[in-house]
Amino acid sequence: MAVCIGFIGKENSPLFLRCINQSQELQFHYIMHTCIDFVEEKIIQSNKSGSDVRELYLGLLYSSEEVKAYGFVTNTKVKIVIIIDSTNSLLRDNEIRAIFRKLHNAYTELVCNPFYTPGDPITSK
Amino acid sequence: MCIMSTTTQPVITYSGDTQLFSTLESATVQGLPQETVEWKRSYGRPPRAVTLSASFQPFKIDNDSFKEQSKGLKKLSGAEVLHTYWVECQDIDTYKANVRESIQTWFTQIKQVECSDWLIILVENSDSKKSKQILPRTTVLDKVKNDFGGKTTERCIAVIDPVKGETKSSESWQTFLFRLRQALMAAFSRTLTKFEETVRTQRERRNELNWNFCNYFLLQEELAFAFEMLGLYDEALVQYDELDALFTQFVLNSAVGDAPDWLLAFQATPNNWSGVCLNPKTPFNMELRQKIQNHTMSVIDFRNYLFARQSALLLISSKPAEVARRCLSYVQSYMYELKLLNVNTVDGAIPTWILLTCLQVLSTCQSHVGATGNQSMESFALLWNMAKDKLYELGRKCGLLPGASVGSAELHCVVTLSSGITDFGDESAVRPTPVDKLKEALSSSQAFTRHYLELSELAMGTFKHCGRLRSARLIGRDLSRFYLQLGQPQKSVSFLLDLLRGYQEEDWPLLRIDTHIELAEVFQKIGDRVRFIEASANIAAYPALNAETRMKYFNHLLQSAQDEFRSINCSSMMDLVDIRIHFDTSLEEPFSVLCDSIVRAEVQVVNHFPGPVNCSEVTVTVKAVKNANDEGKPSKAAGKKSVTEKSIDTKGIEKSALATKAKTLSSDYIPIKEQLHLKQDGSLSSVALVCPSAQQLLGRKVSHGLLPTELSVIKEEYTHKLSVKDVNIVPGVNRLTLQMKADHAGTYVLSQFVACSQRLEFIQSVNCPKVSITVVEVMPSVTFIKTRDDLLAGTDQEVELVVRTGSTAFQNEKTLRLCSSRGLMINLPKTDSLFQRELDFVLPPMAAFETVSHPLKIRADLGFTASKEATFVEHKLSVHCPWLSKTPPLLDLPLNVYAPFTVQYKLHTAYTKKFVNIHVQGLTPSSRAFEFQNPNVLLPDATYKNPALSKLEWRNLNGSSQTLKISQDQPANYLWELCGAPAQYDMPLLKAEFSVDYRLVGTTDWKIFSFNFDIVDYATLFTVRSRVEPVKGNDFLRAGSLCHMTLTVSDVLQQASSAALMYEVLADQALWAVCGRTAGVFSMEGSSKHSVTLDVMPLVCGFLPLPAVRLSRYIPAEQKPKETNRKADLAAATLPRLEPFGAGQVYNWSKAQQVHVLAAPSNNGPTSFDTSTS
Repeated sequence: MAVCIGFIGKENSPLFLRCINQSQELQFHYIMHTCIDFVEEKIIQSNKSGSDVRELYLGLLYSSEEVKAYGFVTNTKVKIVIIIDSTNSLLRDNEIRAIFRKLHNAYTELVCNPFYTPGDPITSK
Repeated sequence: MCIMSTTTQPVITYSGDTQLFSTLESATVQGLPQETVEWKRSYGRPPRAVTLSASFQPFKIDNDSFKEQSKGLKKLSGAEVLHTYWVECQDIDTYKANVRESIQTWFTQIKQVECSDWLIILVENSDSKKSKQILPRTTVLDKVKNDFGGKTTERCIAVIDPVKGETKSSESWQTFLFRLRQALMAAFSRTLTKFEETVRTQRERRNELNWNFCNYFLLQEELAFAFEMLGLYDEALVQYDELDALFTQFVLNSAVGDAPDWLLAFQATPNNWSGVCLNPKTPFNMELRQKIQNHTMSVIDFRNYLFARQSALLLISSKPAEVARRCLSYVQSYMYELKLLNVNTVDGAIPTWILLTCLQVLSTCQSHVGATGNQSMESFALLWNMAKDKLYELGRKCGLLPGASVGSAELHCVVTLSSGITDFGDESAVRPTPVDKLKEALSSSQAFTRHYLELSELAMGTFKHCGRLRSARLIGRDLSRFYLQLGQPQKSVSFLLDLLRGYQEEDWPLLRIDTHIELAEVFQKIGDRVRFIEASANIAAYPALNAETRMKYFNHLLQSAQDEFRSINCSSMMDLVDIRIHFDTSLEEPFSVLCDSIVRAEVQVVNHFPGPVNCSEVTVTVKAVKNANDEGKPSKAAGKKSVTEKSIDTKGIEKSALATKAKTLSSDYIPIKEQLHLKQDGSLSSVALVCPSAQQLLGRKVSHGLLPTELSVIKEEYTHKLSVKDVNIVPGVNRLTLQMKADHAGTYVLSQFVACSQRLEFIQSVNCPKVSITVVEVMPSVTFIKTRDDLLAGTDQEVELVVRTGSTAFQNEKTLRLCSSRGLMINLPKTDSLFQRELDFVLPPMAAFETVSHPLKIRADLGFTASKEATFVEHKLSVHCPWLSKTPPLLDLPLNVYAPFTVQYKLHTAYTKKFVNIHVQGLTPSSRAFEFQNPNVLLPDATYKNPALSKLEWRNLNGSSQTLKISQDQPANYLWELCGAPAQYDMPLLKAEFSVDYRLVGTTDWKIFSFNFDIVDYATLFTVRSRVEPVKGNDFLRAGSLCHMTLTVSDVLQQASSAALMYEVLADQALWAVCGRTAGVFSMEGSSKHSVTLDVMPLVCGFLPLPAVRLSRYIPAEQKPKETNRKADLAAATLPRLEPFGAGQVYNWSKAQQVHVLAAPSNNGPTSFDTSTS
């Protein structure tokens, strides 16, 4: 299971950030924010390669002794970041992709909601 | 490299003529690797071109190795892969005698060995061939092939001894080398395949109890060596990667299941943590390899060895970036492994190892400068960052951080750590080596600080270089903390502000507040009270923070508020969420209030602070908008609507966040124009609204940069403010009512929300959306109201002067000065003053919007002439209000005054009598008719002084006492006869005056109207009489038959002027046809009468008017005019010209006379002649 997931808007402001351990929230905010660096870098790289169909999944963004961060960017430049524990060897690439797909679907449904303004922070009850 | 190559090269044995071979050995060894050979590989792997080299050994049968090899290949390096037999044999006889025997023996021997690839080399001497003249039927080579070759005859090669050095021999030598390479490659490939098989079987047995990873590692590493020897570095790397993965898998499995025995050996406590040695000169760490062979290595040693080998291979392939990239994951996975394996390490050993590894990798990679691109920079940055973090960790452990005390435990730590660091003994390495640096850093607190800052700087710089600004800023956060510990808080400010800016720009509230908290701490230390307040305010207002912290900073804020003046942008603290302005809906203009009224606005403020804020004043400042359109529009003064023409309110487009009934300012209006489409005939087809700048307005707005980024605000200048004093703003929603006096007309826009609490000012801009207030000032106005239809000149007329106060009351009496234009007199009827052109009008004190009307009499002169065109005169009445400061003090009001009647003069003649006719035409309707009486005509007295005119007198032909009524339908005529005028040429001009008493029907006063006119040519000079008579024999005039017309001109004065006269008969061509000349010149000289007879023919029957006759004065060409001095007249004088007579000078007797013309005769019946006068 991921320790933290986050949605970052296209202007790089956080839309939603939820982590399992609330006491680590600040730390994850810092990591998420730093991850934008890597996401931007990867987007530039994929733009350079010039493939028509852009791969939304960006792969591993960042790893440290404690955590690993994986990135995903939608076509509207909303970034989704999943942070998992470094020691977690159960979550392989395919599982991460599956989580991203589910998160992306959830986000798509949210955007379809007429009461949600895209770009606003996401609140959940 | 050289250490390894000899041990890993394949071995070729040699037998036979060893003496001969020793002469050829060096040439063969050198020649082999000179060219590549294609390696075709099994299992579908792509063929590769490789360089092979080999070493030669004498062939000997070793029973031990023989036994070993029979079980399978154990060792690849130094394996015998090819057996060669060298022989020199000149002729078949010798061959048969002994050579064949010895080859046979060798052949059987190699068959027993596992590896049975062989090659027989027959060295030939070219000289011997030449000596033999006849070609032998069979050569020795054929024989050998026949005896041993079997199916593979290419294993027997003949070569000419290259020592002899001939062209032919060198060619043959190259062929030999090629064949040897091929054979060696085939043999080596076969051996390799066998060895791979062995490796695979060994790997399959990895779960067996007696299997040992170290042994297996050494086995597979042989493969890597072999590939490296072949120059296939990538393949070699694959071998190591496989081993790496295998080991990692073992470690991971050990965490969940039982660890195999061999793994326990890896759990030994490491005693050396010097990091990876990447010395390019010693890529092959024999010491460590020895440890593996002895199974006495710790996991740290093993990992070091593995990573060093991988890096060496990557560096040979010139991929230093890859080394740096791998290093990161290597270090991370390594730490994880240590955890899983429960390896006990000396406290601080791991960070030391990581630090040194990072530094080692960095220095090595950076020395391979050639391949450092941006990508490697990214890995470098991460490595620098990691090194920095680890150094900090070490510093903490060893008590080297600023402000930390060094106790015995810390000293012990330093000593222990230093003992585990050894230099690699590489003299050529760049000094200081990472080990030197670390040792120095650990030596003292100052050195540590220096090194830490240096590493941070490098990490930050590298991050910035590759565009990772956020990561770079995060290092700034660490640095700011370090500086804070170092006691230099001022240095950390810039880092934190940089961070704060970043978080504010991208709107990360939690991080922003965290940075604010750190900033608050720093500012408190520096003593920057002002910025401390701002940070405190931000922290206190952040709702997601715990209440305790918020209250703490809120109290700080309140305390500081007493003595520090500061303006704070309060959008996140005291949020203005709603403004409702009470507009005066009774006014015509939207969103407006009256001048001098009190404007009220209801404001909702959300206080995010944890406690109440006592505000001395809460204001919303208001700025006046300078609108160029308003100037030069006096219509505004009259209270008229001043909406820009053809602009349409587009409120729907601007979505207003505030629920105000706000009008967007005219600058925000979208310019929309009306477009009329007309049909061809000019009638309207359709109407459209067009926005000319649609392209510009509908262009996609870049949303980037719209986020509010203002950090600090400045209190803007303002003209007015909506305000309320002394309010306590409690946490949550506050509703306040603000007031403002609107004392000047104009358009105002809300500018800022300011809440003053002690010496603090919380400021927030309210410029989006723009809320505007229009203060309408209705100006006082003065107008005239006409009492009846049209104002008439010449008689007193009454108008009403209406004064409206507008929105401002007149507190005192005000004086209006009225001035009329020339010809207009005014009078206030209630006062006894006379009619005059200027008068003062005193207004009583008046309330707002009060109207006062006062009658005013005007009298306009009948100052018109006889012309009919000017029926009215535009007069002006100027109102002068010197006490009105805002509007132009002079107000011109137009007054159109109509003429009631017109007068015309006419002179009539009857032979020598002259009559003066005055025709008066009324212009007013009969309801407003004028009465006329006492008409009189006068000549000025001076006229009678002229003796010629002294007998002039007027004979009145009018009824003397009659009163005439004149209106549109009723004109009047007055007639006088002018008697006593002398009969002569050149009559002097008479200036006459007609005067009459007149009044408007219904009024009492008679007024005198006089009219001046000039009388000229009042003497008759000639008379003309014309007669039309039938020709002789006819009694009647008949249409279509000729008749005579006789003109008789008489000189009335009998003064026989010598002037020539000219007559012209002007006949209506439909009635008369004039035969012959219609005009002629004659002179009256000598006689008083002159007759001319013309032939004319009436064209129709009936009573026909006689043809008109015009008489003119004829001036012949010879006669020079009186003014000959002008050259222009000379040309005119050469031509004859006519001068017409004045209206009264010629009297025509026959004017309007008619003759009766009978119809043309159908037969010769009787005709009648008749003339009749009308």
